[in-house]
Amino acid sequence: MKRRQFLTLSGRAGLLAAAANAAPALLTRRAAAQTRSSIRIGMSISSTGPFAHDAQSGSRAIKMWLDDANRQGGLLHRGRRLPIELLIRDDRSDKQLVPRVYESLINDDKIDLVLGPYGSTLTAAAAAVTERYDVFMMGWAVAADTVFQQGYRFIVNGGTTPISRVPDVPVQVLKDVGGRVVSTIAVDEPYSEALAGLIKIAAEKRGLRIGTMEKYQRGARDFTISLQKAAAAGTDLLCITSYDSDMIAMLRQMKENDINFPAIFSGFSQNSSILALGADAIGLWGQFNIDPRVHYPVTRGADAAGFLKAYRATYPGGPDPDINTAVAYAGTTVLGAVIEQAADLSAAALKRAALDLSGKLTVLSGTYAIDETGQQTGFNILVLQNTADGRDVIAPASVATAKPRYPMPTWAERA
Amino acid sequence: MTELSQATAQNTRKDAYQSASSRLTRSSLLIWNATLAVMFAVAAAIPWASNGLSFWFYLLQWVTLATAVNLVAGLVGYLPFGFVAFFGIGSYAAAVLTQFHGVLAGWSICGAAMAGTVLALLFAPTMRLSGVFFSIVSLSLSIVLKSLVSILPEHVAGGSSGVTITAIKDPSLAYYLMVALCLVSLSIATLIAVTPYGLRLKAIRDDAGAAAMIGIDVTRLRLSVWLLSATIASTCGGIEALYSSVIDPSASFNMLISAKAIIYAALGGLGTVMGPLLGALLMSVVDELIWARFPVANLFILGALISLTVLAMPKGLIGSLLDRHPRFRRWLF
Repeated sequence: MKRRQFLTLSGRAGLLAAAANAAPALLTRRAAAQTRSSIRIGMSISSTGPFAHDAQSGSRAIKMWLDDANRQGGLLHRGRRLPIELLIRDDRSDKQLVPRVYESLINDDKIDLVLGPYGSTLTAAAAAVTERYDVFMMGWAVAADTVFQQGYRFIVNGGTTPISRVPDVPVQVLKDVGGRVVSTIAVDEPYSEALAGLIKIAAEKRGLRIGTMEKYQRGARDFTISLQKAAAAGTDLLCITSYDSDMIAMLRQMKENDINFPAIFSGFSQNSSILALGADAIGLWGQFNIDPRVHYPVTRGADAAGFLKAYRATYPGGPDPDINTAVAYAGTTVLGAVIEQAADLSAAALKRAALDLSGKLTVLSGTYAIDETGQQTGFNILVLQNTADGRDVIAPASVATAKPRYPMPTWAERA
Repeated sequence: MTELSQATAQNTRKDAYQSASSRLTRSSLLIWNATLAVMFAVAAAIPWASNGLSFWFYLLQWVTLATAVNLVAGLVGYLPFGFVAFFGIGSYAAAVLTQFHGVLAGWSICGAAMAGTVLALLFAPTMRLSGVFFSIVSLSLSIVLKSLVSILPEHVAGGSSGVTITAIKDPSLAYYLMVALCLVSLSIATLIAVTPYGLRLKAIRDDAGAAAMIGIDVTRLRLSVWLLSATIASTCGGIEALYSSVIDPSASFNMLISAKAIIYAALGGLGTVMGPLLGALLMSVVDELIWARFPVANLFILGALISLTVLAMPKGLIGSLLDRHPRFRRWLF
């Protein structure tokens, strides 16, 4: 036999062998799809550790979505309603445990797809595993843009407004009301610092000036110098990107030293701990992703008002819903639509469906849209301002319920 | 040093060597080496035989870290609560070299090892302290280091958001690196145990003054074991960064890493070679068994188990066993 003949024959034999190997796998997958009795979704939730509180807030909404979907007989996939089995494991907020959890869900529990864990670091750790096994992951609490810049193929952010989009709204409000100087105070932690950096970019993009960018170590209690420096820089909008407990200390020190800013923005301004300050919390700008008065033309799931009503009915006397509750509900609602749209439950088909739905699906926090990387490009935050009798939505302008009160009352005016 | 003291020192070393080699029989060492060889042959086959690579990777990581911490805690008597500093600096060195400078995995791990060695040299003056004071300073330095890494600009070390490594997407490579590091660390621990070097270290641990009196260079030996331990930990951190492909200051400098390494080593038996291996092995398996079955109470159960084991066996599994059955001393070390 000549060398060419040998190579040709070998190649054909190889192709036949490959086909013989692949055929059972294809047949098994097709048979599995036809005999499927449920859709198995895996996820990890932090029951302990630094992410536990936020992850548990999200898990309450996920349970609501699950119960609601299963009450209707499950999700409509390939012409049949299939109940959802949600397998939840504890990741202890531990980056080293997350890969083990997701490997176990994929290999031992044979899940079809996964929901991400809480937080960008844990989601990135999980993505390294799901990408290796070609498993689709719906991220619901993954705000960091960097996760979507890594070339991952099968991860989609269906719940959260990316951190890069958060500062645009409050900074634009400031520009619209005539303010010119923005300052930040951040705790030395990933989200807080990254947000402060993005606020700077958003301000500079709009021609606003940066007054000061202060940073402190977690556990610091005296912020007087930072506040005085910000005031001396002529700050119009002070953005506090750290914890609510630190924000309370800052507000007290502002009051004690009569340091006033025309506007103060923080993601925690509507937390019960801040609202408990009474008059001292009036005028603060805060961030949320839903409000019962904001009615997006929802095409799937409950709208904000309906969700909040259902939440209170499901958890009477339970903790108030927070931003994580809403992002989790948005993420799972989008996931339901993606599963129903997908040709099958392979990662590629689910990602295709997620892309196909982009811009055509509106949930309680706005219109879902993603780019090719899977990063969210549709959801915007709402900026709320505390008032004496509640709070107003002051931005985006298209859904605002009131104009901002700018400047906010001084400490002397509140007295 | 006078001729008399030189002669005394030489005799002491000779006695020590004879004591070390006679304590363990040749057959017990053979069995131990054979056990290690089988274990690592199994570990090398894991990527083909098992789907759950992460469990095995982290099991080997904890064996390595427990062995490394045992070198300073069990052999020299320092309890380094800030041990995570070496792990963290190794993680950062490997991640930054790989992601920001395009360095190949092998070289980035060398960089991680060097970073640990340099940091250990910088922290070396803390070894003048002893007991709780050393532990406190060690802990503080690791917190300082974490803060320092956080405030570095994003283009230097990823800032407080950390670094996601995309340049290397081969967990098997990181796994085999961890297998190799684990084998190296256990081999080093075994070598130390069967040579006079180990006996001298134990002499320092028991009474540094008396050890100096018989001619042991206390400072040099302490420093050598400190550097060895730190280099293993930082290499371990570097490999873990490549495996998990994401690091940030909170995760890389997580105090639980120090705590778990110390707990695993202590549960197995500080000052022994087999102890840290046994402790890490046992606790990782127990942890694996309970976290999936008890999603909410798993940490509580784990904590209770650790407390009960420490109460029942304060010297760890190997230490307590040797206390009760000294005849096993030839086989367990």
